[in-house]
Amino acid sequence: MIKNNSLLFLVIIFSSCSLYVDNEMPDIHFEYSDFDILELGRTFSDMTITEDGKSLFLADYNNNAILQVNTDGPLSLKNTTVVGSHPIALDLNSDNSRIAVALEGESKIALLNTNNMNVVNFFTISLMNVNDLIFINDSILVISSKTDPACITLNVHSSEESSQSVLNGELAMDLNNHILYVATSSSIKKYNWDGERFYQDSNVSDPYGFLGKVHHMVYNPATDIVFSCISDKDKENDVQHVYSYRCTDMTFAGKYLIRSPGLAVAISENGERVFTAPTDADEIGVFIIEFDQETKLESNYYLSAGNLTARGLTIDKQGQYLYSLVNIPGDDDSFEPYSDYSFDLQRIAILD
Amino acid sequence: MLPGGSLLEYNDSQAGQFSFGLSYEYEQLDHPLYGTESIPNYNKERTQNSSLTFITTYGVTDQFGLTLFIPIRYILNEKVLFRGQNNNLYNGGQYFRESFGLGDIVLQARIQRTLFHRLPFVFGLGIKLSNGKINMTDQFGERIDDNLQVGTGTVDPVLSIYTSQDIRKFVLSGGVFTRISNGENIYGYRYGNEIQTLVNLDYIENPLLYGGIQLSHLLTTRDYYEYGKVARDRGGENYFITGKLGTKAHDRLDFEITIQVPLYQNLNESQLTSPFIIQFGSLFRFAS
Repeated sequence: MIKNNSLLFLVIIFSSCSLYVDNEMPDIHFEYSDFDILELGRTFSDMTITEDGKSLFLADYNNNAILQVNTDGPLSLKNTTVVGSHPIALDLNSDNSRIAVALEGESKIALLNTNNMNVVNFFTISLMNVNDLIFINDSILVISSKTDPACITLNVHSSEESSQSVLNGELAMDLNNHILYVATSSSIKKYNWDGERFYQDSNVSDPYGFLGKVHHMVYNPATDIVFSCISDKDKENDVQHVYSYRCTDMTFAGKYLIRSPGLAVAISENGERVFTAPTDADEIGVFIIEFDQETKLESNYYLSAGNLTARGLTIDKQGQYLYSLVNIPGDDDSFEPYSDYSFDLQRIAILD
Repeated sequence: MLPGGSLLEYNDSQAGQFSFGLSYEYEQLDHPLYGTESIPNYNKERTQNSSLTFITTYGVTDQFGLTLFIPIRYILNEKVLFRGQNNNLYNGGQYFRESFGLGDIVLQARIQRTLFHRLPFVFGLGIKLSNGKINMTDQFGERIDDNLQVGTGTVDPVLSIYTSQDIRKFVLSGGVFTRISNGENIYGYRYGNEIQTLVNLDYIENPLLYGGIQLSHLLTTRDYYEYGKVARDRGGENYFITGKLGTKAHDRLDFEITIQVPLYQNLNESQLTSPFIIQFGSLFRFAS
């Protein structure tokens, strides 16, 4: 009797194997992999990548330097050039032989040779607190200031400066049609270039409805759409999207839900894939979110190694890699004064 | 986890005999795995689990006894948050959660029978109570995750089978232990089921010093939130090897130390694991 009961007990335990099987799986839309990080530990204000995707330039805001990173193979720091007080913005010319650097802390623009990273020339300008610059063509730069409401143009061959009727803000350029897009604190404005001066286009985007702080703006020539990352300066509005506008008439082309203000955006060469860097982390980590431009829906998530930053995302023209600036909170072990936000460079392989 | 495979005979007592044991267990989970792969611990998260268990056994007859496990637990979870991960600490930074106190008490009855002519089998049938607190909060007053609470909030059955065979100076033993989850706790969280299988080979040269090794397999199913939503990052399969060293300090007093290390782990999604679990045990037998 006891023996039979014991055997029954055994049978019950072993026949209840289904109790130990997981029949359901949660939805997982991302994969873990080890991070490809170049440890730099600096505070960056801008980044740009060459056409061939082999060199990346970073504006090291606190150390007054421009860093050249070799991205062909393992990430490595190739050159560091001290340029002046607080480099805030970068732009490459058409053949990537020169890089223009806007200095926020001096009324100067630096022009560097990208082959040896030597400074070719410094240009003294009338603006102070510069926030952005961009090449219209290989000779002329548009420069914006945080404190001066009007932008200027600077001829890098003649050093000639001209005041322009262009509002200050974050700049993006349609190089083929010589159209400048400016994300101001209230709306996106469009300016047409006639070879000497800019004239405001009659098409202006609808106002945001709040005083905007612009983190990044990118123009995509394939789709003729500008993408902007904006937050509310007064923090009264809960901005949760990255916005996009059709360049022909500046109407709304779509918004991308990321549940916090966008810090940066990168677009694939064909304009079909939109990569966004949100301000806030998800419960389980910080993600760069990829959207399908056509449907405006998420298509992939890329796990980031840390907090992201404004202008801190770019993509190579080949569409193979994303590069993001990441602040990994756990490695903030520095006791150096004023060195509490140290960013590294992360490379992320884009999924097919 | 119930002490399994220990040479300390927590489950063995003669009629009328009362014994008292203490077991201290410690692990630091700081190594994240995704499935079988090691992944970066980007939140720098770690959890320290320690528990002191009081074990009392009373032999009603030589074949029937009762054992009570009373755990006192301390759990500390630390991590560095990213911006936006916690509304109370929006800009991120160091964040910790801790819970401590009396854990869920387990009461187990055991019956010993000889089967297959000469093999002694111990069948255990027990119940894990729901007395452990499950409402500990963080410094902002938010309730911390269920798996960081000292209790589970449900009354669950606990079953076990254990057998051993002396082979000269060796003792070969094995057993199966299982805890079957009995529904959701008051917060709607349901723990997965757990089954542990183990095989021991112990060597007893003399009572002053003995030792052994154990191979064990632990399978845990996923947890579920309220309304059946699958909990991510819970459950999986583990294989461990354990080394044991013990001494019989006195006729009535034994001491033992075990160190368990993982051999293979295949976990659901990403989970923190511990590179080792260390356990100290002692047992004092009162005169019957």
